[in-house]
Amino acid sequence: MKKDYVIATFECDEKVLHATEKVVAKNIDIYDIYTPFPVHGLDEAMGIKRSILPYVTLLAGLTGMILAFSFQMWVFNISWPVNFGGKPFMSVPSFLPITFEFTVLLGAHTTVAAFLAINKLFPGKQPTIIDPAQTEDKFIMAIDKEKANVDDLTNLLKEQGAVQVEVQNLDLSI
Amino acid sequence: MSTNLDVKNFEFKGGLRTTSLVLIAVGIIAMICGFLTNKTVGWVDFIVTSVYFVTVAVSGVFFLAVTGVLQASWITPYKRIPEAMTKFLPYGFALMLLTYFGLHSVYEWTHTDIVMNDPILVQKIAWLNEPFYMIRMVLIFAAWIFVGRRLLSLSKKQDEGHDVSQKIVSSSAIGLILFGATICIASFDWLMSVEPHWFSTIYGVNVFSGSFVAGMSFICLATIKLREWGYLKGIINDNHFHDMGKWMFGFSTFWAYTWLSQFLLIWYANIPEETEYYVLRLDHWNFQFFLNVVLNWLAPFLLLLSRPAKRNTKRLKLVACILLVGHFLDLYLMVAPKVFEHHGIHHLSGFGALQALQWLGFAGLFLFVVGTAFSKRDIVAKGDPQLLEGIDLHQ
Repeated sequence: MKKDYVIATFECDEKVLHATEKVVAKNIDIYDIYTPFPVHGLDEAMGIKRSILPYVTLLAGLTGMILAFSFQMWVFNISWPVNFGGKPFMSVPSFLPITFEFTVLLGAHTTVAAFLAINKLFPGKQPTIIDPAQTEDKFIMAIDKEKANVDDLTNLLKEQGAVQVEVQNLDLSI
Repeated sequence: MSTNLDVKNFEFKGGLRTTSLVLIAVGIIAMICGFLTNKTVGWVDFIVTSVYFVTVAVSGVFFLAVTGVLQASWITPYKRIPEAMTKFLPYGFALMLLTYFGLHSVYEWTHTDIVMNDPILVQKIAWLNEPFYMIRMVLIFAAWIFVGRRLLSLSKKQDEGHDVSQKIVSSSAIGLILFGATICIASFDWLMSVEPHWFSTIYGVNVFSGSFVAGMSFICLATIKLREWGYLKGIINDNHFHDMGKWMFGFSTFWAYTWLSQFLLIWYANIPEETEYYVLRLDHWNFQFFLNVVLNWLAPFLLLLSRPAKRNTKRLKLVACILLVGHFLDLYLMVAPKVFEHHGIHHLSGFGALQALQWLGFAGLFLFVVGTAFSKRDIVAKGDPQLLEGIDLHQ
């Protein structure tokens, strides 16, 4: 869906960071910022909420732990009890390596899958490129045109060191 | 390059200085009481507590070396703490030399009559004999003190404005190799040889991981306390604490990993000469045995699991204290059970207030030495070219 966005181009990470702080201070929602490398502190400045990813990992890890442990318990006690070296059927220490490995396996794979899902990344996805320079040396801030007064915003962004501010009709929703 | 930072330097005086001196006095009294009640118990406490603080001090050398070889910038704001910790090593050396007089009380292999009539021990004579044991101890400390001093002198050169970055990398790399070899030999000698028939190859790694957790806990505790006392304002932020939390969390889990590796293989193979180590502890030291795992891994793991916890200084202080106590229990359980069994001492007679007070006494000495060394230099590594990057730490 195409929409009008105010697109501001910056030439260094510090400027885009300070501009973000100023824009957020004016209660204007920033749609997104496209940078060639991760800018430290930008997430906090934009007020992006922390990802739910750690909780997904925790949940998947716990699931893996419970699954692996209960499966071994079922196999070695109920389904197919075998005597290993005279040890009791319910030998917790021997369950631990598999429990640990499956916790890590499920936790790690689910984390990767959830990361891709949360960020809507999939094979063949077209990257959102406003200006090819955003992958090299430019920092681009996109703000929904309806959410701010364009003239005021342009002045503010120019003051903060934006080299170019213009309104473009783009589809950024993918 | 030098940076103009307006920070107050640490002064070792007043309450802290008095406290450490009082602790030393208390420790000496507790030690005398310990030796008077039972010579063996006294020596076990002395050896365990000396090894404890030596390993904490040497983990400072390791921390400096590992961050030196990586040219890590995030350590620079609190680099002076591990640097000061290395200053305890000569004192630790003196304490360990004193254990020479207690060898007969603790180490079975020092009794020639027993060794000669023991088909296993007689074959280990080439390694386990008193002169070679002391020579090894001297060599181990020589290596540690050498590496510590070398890194410290390079840091001083940095303060004078010289560029020694490459020298720090090469010295740290050599230091790491020396450290890896010596910490294994040290733990085999001082701790594992208490049970000369028994051996475990992962023992050194286990001791190292526990020591580094304790060292990291001390660094974390010291940094938090310094900030509470008004030092390091604007130098240390939550991200630095988050780093330290991650170190404690990670290495505590690494300790549990090595601990379980040792236990699992012995439990699974079920060979009498190996299982004796765990049979003894599970039969008579059952509570302490499992408490050790709770203190060193389970409690820190659960308490530091979430991100806000690692950035919360109260939580970090609690975990650091738990880990510092846990490391003592860990080392104590490596030495005491066999010695007590050998001398027919009831297991609980050597585990209580007297040991805690003695530990506090040594802690007083450690604080005094480290605090004095820490107060003698600038509180932050002003000459370190990576200091500003380290202060402006992000995630």
